[in-house]
Amino acid sequence: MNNHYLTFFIGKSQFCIPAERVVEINRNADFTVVPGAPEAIKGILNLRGQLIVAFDMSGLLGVASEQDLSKAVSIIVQVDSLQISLLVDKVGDILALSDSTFESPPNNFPSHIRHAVVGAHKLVDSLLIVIDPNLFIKHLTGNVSLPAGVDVLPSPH
Amino acid sequence: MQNNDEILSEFILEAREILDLLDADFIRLEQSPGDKKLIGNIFRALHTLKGSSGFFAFKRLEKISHAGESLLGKIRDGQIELDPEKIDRLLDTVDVLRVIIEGIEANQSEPAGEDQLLISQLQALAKNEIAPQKSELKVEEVVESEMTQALPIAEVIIESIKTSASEAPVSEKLFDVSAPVKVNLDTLDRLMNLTSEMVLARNRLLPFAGGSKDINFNQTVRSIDLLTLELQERMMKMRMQPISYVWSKFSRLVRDLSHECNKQVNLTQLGSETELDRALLDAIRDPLIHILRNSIDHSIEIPAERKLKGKPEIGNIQLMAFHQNGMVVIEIADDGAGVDYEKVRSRAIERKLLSPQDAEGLSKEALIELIFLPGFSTKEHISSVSGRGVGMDVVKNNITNIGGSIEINSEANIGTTIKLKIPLTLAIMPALLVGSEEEVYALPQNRILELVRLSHGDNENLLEDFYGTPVYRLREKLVPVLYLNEELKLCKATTSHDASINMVVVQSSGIQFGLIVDKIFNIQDVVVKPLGPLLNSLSKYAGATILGSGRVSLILDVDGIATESGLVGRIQAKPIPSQELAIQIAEEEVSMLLFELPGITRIALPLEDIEHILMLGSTHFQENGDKEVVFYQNQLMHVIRLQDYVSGSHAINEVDGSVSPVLTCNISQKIFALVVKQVHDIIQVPVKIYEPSSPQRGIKGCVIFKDEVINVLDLEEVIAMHNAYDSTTIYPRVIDIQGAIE
Repeated sequence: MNNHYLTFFIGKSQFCIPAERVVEINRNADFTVVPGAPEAIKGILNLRGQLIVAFDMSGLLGVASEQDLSKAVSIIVQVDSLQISLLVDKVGDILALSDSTFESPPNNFPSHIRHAVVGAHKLVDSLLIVIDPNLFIKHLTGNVSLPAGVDVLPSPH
Repeated sequence: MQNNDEILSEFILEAREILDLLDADFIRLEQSPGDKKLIGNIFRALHTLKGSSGFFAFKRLEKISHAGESLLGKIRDGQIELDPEKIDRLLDTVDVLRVIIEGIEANQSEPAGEDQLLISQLQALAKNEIAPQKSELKVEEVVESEMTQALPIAEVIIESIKTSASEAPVSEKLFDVSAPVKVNLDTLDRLMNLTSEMVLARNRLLPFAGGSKDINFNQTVRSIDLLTLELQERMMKMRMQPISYVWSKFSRLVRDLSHECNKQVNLTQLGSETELDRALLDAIRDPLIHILRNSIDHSIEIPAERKLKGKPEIGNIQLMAFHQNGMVVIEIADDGAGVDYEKVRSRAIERKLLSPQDAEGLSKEALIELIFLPGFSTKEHISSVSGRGVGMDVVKNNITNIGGSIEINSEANIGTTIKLKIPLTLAIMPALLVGSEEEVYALPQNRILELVRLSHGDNENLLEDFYGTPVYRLREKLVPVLYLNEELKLCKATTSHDASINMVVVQSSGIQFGLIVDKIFNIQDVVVKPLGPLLNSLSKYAGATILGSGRVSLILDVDGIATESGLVGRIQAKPIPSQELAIQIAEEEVSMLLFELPGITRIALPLEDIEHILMLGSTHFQENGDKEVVFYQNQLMHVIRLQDYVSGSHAINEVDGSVSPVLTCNISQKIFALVVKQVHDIIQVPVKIYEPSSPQRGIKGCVIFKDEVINVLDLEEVIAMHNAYDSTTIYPRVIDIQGAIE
């Protein structure tokens, strides 16, 4: 069975996301920085009156971007009832890929990347990394730091 | 009279809805006669109708619906069975009711008529007797006989049907009740959103018109401008409702509560026509009820005591609402005993919230703030009405959540006045736009006391240094000062040597402080939008808004900034002693520590079982025979690697030099150190633990937290298993898990 994927670039690296999640693609995303927000969140932008949280894919995937963030392309994706924006350098083609070429990440995969990458498709000459926005949304909303008031410091008396 | 008309038309609308509903329900009932829920629904509907008609003294309506209701009551209780004949009679009842309602609509009074036959039929059916004229007559014949036997009843009914049908054309009705369309709030919100977007689009359009010489274009823009303005105004109005919508139920409430407390209370309401956003009305209902309860139970004295104090025996509570500075102010004033400041003080000391020294120095205002702490009550006895100490904190939360504020003024033996300030609407609020580091932020206007511009010309040192903390002398009062760019961590501390400083003096929880910004722009109405689940945890922002340029601007939460900076909340931040807190929440919730084991991402242990959380490196662990121990800060701890004892978890090879979190617990004078993979969070979960379907090693069961299943560690079992291999065991050598737990 074939699934459609939208490919995008950060620097020279190519990634893809399931195309059925993509709502729209915008250029010149003018976002507002939210001080204090989690690192992966670049800011919020206005999509026809709706507030959209914008994710910095270059930071999230640990790949250096080759252009200014102000020139980034924003891919709006739907995750459950939430719409978010992924800021990437460039958008590529839509590819139809068969399930049979899909492979899950190996066990020694770095854990911080596990929060974004579900696997890869084996293309003829390279591996096309598949991103699942669901994963890092879950990671972000489920990850709460230890609240104050808990005795974390050693003082066994 | 105007008011009465309104209530009457509401009643007619309600009655019509009920009758339509009844018609449909009876038909459904005929198809499924055994449906108890349906019968219950019908019963309640008729009951409501009876209640409202009693209120208007519509005797016919009341009598008929009463008869119908008693019949239905018996059917509901299963005393008699429902048959087609009963349904017919009940449908007849509905028809007669409808005729009366139409009569009321036409003349504002009940049409004359005699319903004895119908009522006696209903009563007979309810007694399970044969109804008068029932046996040989079919339904049509009943009607016929009613007509032919010259019984006045039926004739009047028919007559009134005629009058309402023919003689009362729509235009001649004394007043015409057109049914309003019910729109759900969500749809309204979306419309509201669109309207505000429309306003923004208009704002972008206006400059073009100014620069253009094309008259047609300019005229079009002008009309779009006007239309948008009106659209916005109408949108705002659409959501408004008078506060009487909430207050109307209070007279009854106060009457009942005062009876319960053996007190006499007179409630007066002023300004009940004041309009407020519908969503806000819903949000203030519970806080208001709570405040009223408090007033009646705590403040108003019993009549004998009032007499002794020289007050009238009947206590007074006054509700007052009015507009002020773009806010709605609601005042609840009583003439009761007021807050006993000494009691609050001693209670605070008793509960170790304050040291006696600190408490001595507190002003009345500061003591009042204590009332808002969770679990704080000066009442010795818990009554069914109030005094459980769960209250004013919730009231305050509810009010601040909708952008409002609460003030209490109380004089001993004179009374208490509680003042709520509520924004007119949730969706739109006036805000001051300020600039900091090239970014524009919005500050809610209702929190701003004044704007201060300090220039070097006036005074040599603009801000004074209070041993490292910047303060400003505002009319001989020191106010602490925060730098916005520093609070938002936009850049490091700026000891700016600019020519001038812009400071916004704001208020949070009774504390004033200055917020220094780079630029101050203007005040404008902004549309508040929530930040959504991903950013909700940031307490420094109350939301965001979209500026005229289309850019998003964050709305600052003054309370959040004050709390995070440490200015506010030193008292609040000091936790109430945990054992007391535990009592308070023991009934429904328990605190658990959420952690991770290799292979199990979410497992929890009740917090009360845990003494400390330590981070221990692999070098801390030492061998003691075939056991691992840790000697840490003069204590010997027995190490339990939980992954060895819990189903579903697996051992992992430990890397040398790694640091693992360790939970220590003290069980029968022995300290155990539980090694886990990662500690996540403290969660509040319901006490109920679901047992696993088949026993799982080391797992007691699971609890539900945010719709997620979380395993709960069985500490006794784990320790029993651990000790089972131990020569000095207090548990038997053969593991009898059941026995060990008991």
